[in-house]
Amino acid sequence: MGRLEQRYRVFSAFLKLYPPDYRNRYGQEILQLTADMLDEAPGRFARLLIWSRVLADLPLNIIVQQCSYVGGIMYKDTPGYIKRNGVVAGVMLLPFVGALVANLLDQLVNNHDLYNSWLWRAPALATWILYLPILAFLVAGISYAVYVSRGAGGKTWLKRALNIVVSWPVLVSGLTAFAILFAVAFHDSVHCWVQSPAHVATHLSQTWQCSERNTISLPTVFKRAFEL
Amino acid sequence: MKRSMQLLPQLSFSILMALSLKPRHGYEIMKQVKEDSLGKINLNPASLYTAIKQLTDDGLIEELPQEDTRRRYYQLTKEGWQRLNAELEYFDNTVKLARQRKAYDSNGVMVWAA
Repeated sequence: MGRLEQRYRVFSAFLKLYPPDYRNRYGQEILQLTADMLDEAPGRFARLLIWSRVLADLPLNIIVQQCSYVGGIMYKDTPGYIKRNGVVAGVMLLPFVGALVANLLDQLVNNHDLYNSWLWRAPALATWILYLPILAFLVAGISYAVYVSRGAGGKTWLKRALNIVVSWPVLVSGLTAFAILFAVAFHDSVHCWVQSPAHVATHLSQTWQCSERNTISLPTVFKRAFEL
Repeated sequence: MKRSMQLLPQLSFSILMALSLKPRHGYEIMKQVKEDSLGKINLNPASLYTAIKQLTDDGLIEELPQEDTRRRYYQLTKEGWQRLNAELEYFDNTVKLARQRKAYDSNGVMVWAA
């Protein structure tokens, strides 16, 4: 650890949030420049002012550099099928987002609850918002599995599995699809768990039964969607 | 036909202006930009190096070879000089045009002609 890193430990830790390439290239210079500014400050208040400016300026620039870094990796290293399938899976989730917004408007304007809403009364749409997330989850999941299982680049499967900088397009789409399916299945049972933690802990079996009673299995949801 | 020019962001332009006098390191650039802007542009380290990286990637400035990695000196490249001159020419024309359009009302106060 260099002299400046020791002198400004916290600031050096913040600089570690920059992407590695950028940090190696400009980290020392940023540290030196900050030290120069502080050394020339006339008093304690001026130093405080400099710190507030320097720290306030940091987050946005870190985000900019991280986006540029991830964008660069995507451009160079991310396989075409990961990018393509990430976008395809993301597009499949758009009807759900659209339906959610429409349903929210329906609730606000017509005071309809979910089961009496425009969303639930449109079977085709209800099917889309269930089938498409499943399809999106499969597309994203299979793409991720293919990426992890392929031995390209001389990395172990574990390293590839953890290399989210490359696989994030399918991971984001896949996890969003999973969250949608989870929400569809469990949204009625949430109230069983949203109580005081002490009550849940002391009435675990009742809470579990309540949850099971109110959980909608996916086949039930599909059936309901087709019946309408 | 002359290709249309995308103007540089204010910060990048200020850095090129600061480097037009001589090669400088980060802190010198920061001080020169403040001086050139009469104290209006007060740069911070993170923003400065984001702009420096962008200008380096665009080939408008380059780093002078040296061993000290804490204080690297930057200078304009040939492309950087061309770009700075093009920008200055644009601003020069804009100021000339503004001067031509300047008018004064009956009280002698300057107004812009419609």
